[in-house]
Amino acid sequence: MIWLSWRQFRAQAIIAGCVLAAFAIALLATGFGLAHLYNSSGLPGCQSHGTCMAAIHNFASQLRGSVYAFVFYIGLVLVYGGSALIGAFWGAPLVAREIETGTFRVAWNQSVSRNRWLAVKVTMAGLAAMAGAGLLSLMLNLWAEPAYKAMNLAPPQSSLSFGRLSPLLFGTNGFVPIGYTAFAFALGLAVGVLIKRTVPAMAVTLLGVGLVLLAWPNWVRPESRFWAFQWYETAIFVVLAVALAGFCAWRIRRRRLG
Amino acid sequence: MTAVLETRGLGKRYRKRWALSDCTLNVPAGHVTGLVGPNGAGKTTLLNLAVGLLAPTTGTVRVLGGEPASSEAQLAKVGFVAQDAPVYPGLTVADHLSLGAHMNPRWDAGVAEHRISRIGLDPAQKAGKLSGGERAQLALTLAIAKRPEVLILDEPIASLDPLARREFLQTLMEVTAEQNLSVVMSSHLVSDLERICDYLIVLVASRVRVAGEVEALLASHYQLTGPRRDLAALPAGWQVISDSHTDRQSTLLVRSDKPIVNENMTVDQIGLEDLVLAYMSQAGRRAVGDAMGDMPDPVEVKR
Repeated sequence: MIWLSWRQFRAQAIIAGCVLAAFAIALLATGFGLAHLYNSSGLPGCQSHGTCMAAIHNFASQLRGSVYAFVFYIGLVLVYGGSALIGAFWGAPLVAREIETGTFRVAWNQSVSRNRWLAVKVTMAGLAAMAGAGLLSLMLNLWAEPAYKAMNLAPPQSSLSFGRLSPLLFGTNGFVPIGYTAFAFALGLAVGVLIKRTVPAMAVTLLGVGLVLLAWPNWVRPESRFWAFQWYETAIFVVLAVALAGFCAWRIRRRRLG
Repeated sequence: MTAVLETRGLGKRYRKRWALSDCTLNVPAGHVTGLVGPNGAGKTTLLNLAVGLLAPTTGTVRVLGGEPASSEAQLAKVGFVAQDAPVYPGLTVADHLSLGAHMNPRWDAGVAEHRISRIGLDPAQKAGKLSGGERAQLALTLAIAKRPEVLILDEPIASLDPLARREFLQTLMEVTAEQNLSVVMSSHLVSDLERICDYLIVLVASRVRVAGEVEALLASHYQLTGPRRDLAALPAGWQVISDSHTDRQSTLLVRSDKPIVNENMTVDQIGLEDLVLAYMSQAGRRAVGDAMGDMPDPVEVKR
């Protein structure tokens, strides 16, 4: 079963791997420059001199419109867009395509139970998606460390102080991207199992993940302690993902397809 | 010996429509069984119930004594080729053999490769580019190399051209002889089944009309022609399957376990095709009273 799962998954895995590798190269190519910019903008040691505001303004003005800002925006798009795309391109077709083309009849009549069939498929693609999301977020945040440091030096009420708890940045930091991606993947899987057609399932998944990612930070997430809420939020999304996958397994075991 | 296929009161309902009702069968092992009936009769439903792709609404179904798809051991015993022989379009022929090898403990790589080269399939060819006949052969190869105890085939030859059809049946006959394999296959063409089946099930409008060994069926059905007879006054033990009358003459198809002696009529043996058609048109006439709703016109059955 592992062989078939990998054979079906490998093209998607290679594409995602290439995107990740290309972005890693872009981060490597610009990372040292960003660190140099931080060091030369007068930020190190600015607190003892009381020159932090000037240094931050200096740093920020050099970032504005620079290649660093561009790379960072691409990173944001990859983290948020990536989870939605994983849901649509990895999650939704995983079972839906087998139903649509009738190949589930082939798979389910080899000497492998449906539970094992689904478990191997979901584990392989799901863990790869979560690992990819974790790696992407880790790379992006290591790279952006100088910028985060600069923000932390700004006085709390100033317009430049939008820390890691801001809705946009919270979702790209720490473990949360792993939770988002697991949820998006499982949502795609479940939508595919219910709709049973690949392309409509992909569209619904994109829409669904987009709505959740927009709604969650604005309506649901509380504004306080960073790491506590990183854990809570990741846990909530992973639990949702496991519940969705469990629903799919139940549905498939009950032969509600075909 | 355990039955290959044993059903009791088996039924399957889709929303309000019964695709299969009150189906009780006991097909012994060692036969090539033909499941015949018009399109929409419930053949696919019965076979999908037998491989566990559907769950019964009523009754039970057992294959080789086990509940379908209940365990990996049960799955290993049953080879199945679904209607239209689905394959993975993006995978090559060789990939399909690898799939079989990785997913079946009793996989016979020698048989699989031998069959692929004899059919003349290119192992590097994507399965999505195969013709219908080649696809059916590939799907059959997967099912055979798995070394099952029973092979279940749903309309395996419906989409094949005459040459591919003959090759397919040839393969099937060889394999059943070599591997001591039971086969259950469905078709709406009696002529295909006539050549290789020694057990027959006729399914019309969701109900089993007759089932039994072909030899026994042929030996217990008689075509009678003679002076016009009153159906009410026939001897006990005669079951009239079909009858037609002119002013002076009656032609009857009768099932009787005892030999029929003269009775003033000409007695002929009947062929398998006529026998099946008689059951189909009988069911067709009854179905009008059954209000089944979806009974196809019996004429369509005659190809």
